[in-house]
Amino acid sequence: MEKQNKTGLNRRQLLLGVAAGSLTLGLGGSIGRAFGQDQQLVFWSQFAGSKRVAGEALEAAFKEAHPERNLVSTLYAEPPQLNEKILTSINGNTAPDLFVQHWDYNLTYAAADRMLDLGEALSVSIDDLDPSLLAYGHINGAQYSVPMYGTSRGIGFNRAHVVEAGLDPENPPKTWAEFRDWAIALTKRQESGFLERAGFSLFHNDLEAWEVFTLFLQGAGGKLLNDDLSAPSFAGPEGVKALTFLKGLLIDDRVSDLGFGLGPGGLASPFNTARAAMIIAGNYSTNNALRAGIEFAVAPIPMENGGFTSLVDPFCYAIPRDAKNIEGAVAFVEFALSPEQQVAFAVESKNVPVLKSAQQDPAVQADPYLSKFVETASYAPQEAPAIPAFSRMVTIIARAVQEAMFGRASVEDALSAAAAEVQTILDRG
Amino acid sequence: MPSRSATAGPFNRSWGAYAFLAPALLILFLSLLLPAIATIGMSFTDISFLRPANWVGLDNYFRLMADGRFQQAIGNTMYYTLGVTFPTMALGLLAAVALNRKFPFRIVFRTIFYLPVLTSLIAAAVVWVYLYEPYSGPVNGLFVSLGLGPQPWLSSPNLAMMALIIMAVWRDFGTAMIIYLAGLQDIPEEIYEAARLDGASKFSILWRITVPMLGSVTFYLMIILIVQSFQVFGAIYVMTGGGPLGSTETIVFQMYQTAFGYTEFGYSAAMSTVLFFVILLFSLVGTKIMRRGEG
Amino acid sequence: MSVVATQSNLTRTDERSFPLSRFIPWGERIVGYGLLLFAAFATMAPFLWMVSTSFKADAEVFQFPPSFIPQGLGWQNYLDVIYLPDSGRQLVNSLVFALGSTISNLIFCSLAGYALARMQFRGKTIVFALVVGLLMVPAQSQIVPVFLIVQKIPFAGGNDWLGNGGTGLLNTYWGMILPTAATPFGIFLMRQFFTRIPIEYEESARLDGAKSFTIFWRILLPLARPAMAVLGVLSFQSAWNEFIWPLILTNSRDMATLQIGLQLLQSGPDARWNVVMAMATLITVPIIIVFLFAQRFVIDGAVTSGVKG
Repeated sequence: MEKQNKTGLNRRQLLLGVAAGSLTLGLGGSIGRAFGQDQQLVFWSQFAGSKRVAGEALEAAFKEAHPERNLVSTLYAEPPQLNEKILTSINGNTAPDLFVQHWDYNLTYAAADRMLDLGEALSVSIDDLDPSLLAYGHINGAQYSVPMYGTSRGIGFNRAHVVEAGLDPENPPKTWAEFRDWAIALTKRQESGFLERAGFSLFHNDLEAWEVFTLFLQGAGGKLLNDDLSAPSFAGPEGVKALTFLKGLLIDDRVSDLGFGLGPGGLASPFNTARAAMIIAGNYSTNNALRAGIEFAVAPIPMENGGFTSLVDPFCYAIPRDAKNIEGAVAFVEFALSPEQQVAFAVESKNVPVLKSAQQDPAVQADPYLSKFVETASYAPQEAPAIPAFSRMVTIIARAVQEAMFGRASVEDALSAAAAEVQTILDRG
Repeated sequence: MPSRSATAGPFNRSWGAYAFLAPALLILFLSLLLPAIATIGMSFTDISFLRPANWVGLDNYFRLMADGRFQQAIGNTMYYTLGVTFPTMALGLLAAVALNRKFPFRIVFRTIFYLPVLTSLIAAAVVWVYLYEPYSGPVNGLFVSLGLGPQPWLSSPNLAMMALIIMAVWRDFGTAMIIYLAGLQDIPEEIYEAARLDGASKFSILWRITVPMLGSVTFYLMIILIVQSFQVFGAIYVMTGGGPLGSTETIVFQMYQTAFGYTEFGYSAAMSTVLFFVILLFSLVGTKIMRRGEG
Repeated sequence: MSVVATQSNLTRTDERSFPLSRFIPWGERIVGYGLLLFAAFATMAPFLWMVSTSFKADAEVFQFPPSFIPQGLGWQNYLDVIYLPDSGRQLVNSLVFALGSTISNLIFCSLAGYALARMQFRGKTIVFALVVGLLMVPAQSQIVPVFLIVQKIPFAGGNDWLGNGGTGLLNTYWGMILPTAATPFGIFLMRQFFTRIPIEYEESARLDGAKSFTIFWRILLPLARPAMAVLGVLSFQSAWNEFIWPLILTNSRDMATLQIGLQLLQSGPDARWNVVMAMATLITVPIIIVFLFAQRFVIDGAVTSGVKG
């Protein structure tokens, strides 16, 4: 008898538990409901790290100028994390009204027709914006995303090392031959072969391997893709020349060792620890180099026979096509592209503003490093490899570069195999 | 009374068991089973979560069979799993046996051996990169003093995975230790006393009594370690990003890249399905080996 | 039997009569301690290095070769972390999430583990196979499906009974905890430990007429204290370090956890690593406390539980 009674009670307890559970679920739900009401402007920002202060200032200025817009922002640390958020939210219909993201992700969303054509929506004159940065938001004949700022690339060098090697820091290399002389002169090895200081540290991860190759490819007069972005063109004679030159620096001239300074998050950076005299630098190199006490200097990247080249890498605004508050989102982008905000953001975050007039603003030019990166940005090509499969192309090219460096394949074979692979992906669409 | 409970017993007990299981199974259903079924379904489509999906049949699987990079990743992952699982179990057992006795400061030592799991991954990665530093890192210092040449560790396609394995064992053996410690608590002291009276050596006590008595714990650890190693992601993402030359690219690393980097969720789901069966196979083989060892 | 006993008695008396042998345990102990200290240092070095970096000034971070002991004991990095705008809120969220996940794992996994270890019911093998099988589902492929499931929980967040129309459990603690509320790891662990407890304990109670829940609650659970302590530590630690679910399942600053804060701090190529390490060190403190608290039960649980016979 007693036994059965207890079992009954047990079941009753279970039912009670289920009831309590569903009650709490309901409660949680009502909290969730309170979140999604009234007309807000939901902005997912990627202004983290060293851009955090600049981003917060921008948002505060917008709130002050447009209190009625009810801006609500959330900050995400890295482009891949924001990407996880956007992909899930687009499917759950919880996407924000506006976000700012690394350009290649925006192309993926735009290619699937999920984004608003900003060329039509914005009243800002596109001609006032830097075309080389703008090119990264252009796909399928429309401007689906608009840059806030970009980083650009130059040769970062350690002035103390250059002086010590008897070179003139005011007269940096203007051709590949001069660059090679600098790299050799700056390299320091002990008799045992121990690398004390790399003359030029080529790359420390896949992205940088792609980057250094692309910069020298452009230096030889080549491009990653053909004009209509339908086929790779990096495996041609220019690509072979570029990769052969880089391989020569590493293998014949021994200006660095393969895998030198490889490591997470730039903490192992041989440049900041004064173990490399030259690197490919971007705006983001400035802060930590100065913190480390390096005599950091920037020079433009020479082409083979004179002239300079560079790369820009923008972060862009985009508005989902189904956004609930398109009007507010457009207002924010227009506000952020205004001359005052462009200058303020650039000076605080040390990034190249997209607005041409802001690039030449005295406040921007007064910063010795920012002005240098604005200058190198002007050497970047006016067109961009703006394809959704960009990040995959980076991986493939980085692999080819390293295969050639490790001697697993000849320069020609590595590049043409990579080109074939990129072609398959482009054809698949 | 007795006859009554005999007839009602099995029914009641069954219901009781289901009541015990229900909450956990409901959660597993929502958080794992449903997503797993969805993943298998997705593997037959070209779903991108951005465009309308199409049914593609077995295309993704055919593509996987021809995908050299995926095969390299399977090889890498198996190497990593074998390299991590057994040393971690062995070290964890040794540490547990050593720290199960009563002696001063044992709590301090236990905590220290558990610290690696607690150390933030990024901090751990930074330190290990320095330890492996080819020129002035302590690991090569040790190698040179032993008369072996310095090794390029993380920058060599042949050694990078080994370097990651060593780091993973360092990180995981503390977990194995506390699980073994818990297991050691319910081995009756009398068994040890009897063995000691029989004059058994320490090693033979460990091998003849402790290890067999921990069989079910070891089985648990082996499965968990196989599963975790096969799904390794964070450490590799931080330490090498899959390089050099793809030598540390693992299945989950590629899966993530394919899904979120390239928005090929269908293809990634096929990878995930294959991974599931590879882990299952390894776990079954591991179970077989353990059974044979026990017999 | 008696022969063996006398033999061992003999060896014991031999030892006692032979003075040198008294030193052998001492020597062994010294070697043992030496080995332990070495292992402890090797194990601890990365942790110490994290702490040491957290005290370094900006320039010292980039010194090469790195210094193990910081030049000064600057607390500035720690102050920078503590005064971050959202850190208090993030701490609360992390605690709610980690404790919620730990408690639900302790309850649900022990119940399910007990059923799988000790109860007879139809479909037992299938359920156990399913639990172990679900271990093998990689988390990275679940991200999108779990998001959609959490969003479509019926009657929550403005949803109708089919789960449409609202945001479900997104942006709630319930939603964050759900994917980690019961894990195959935990169920499997508890099952393995329950099978190890001698059946006699249970049988005598059953003869006394106790029913399943009483047996579980009064007898087996106290005996399984070491395993529960392990499960508690592992669940707390994995929830405390969890990053993906809090990121994916919430959309607002108010719901961010400390791990999200840490990610924000180390974002980009020019992060301030000394400040990152200070936050990483602070984040570790609660898990160490939980570990110290739980490890007592790992060791002393079964012995002192006093439910013998």
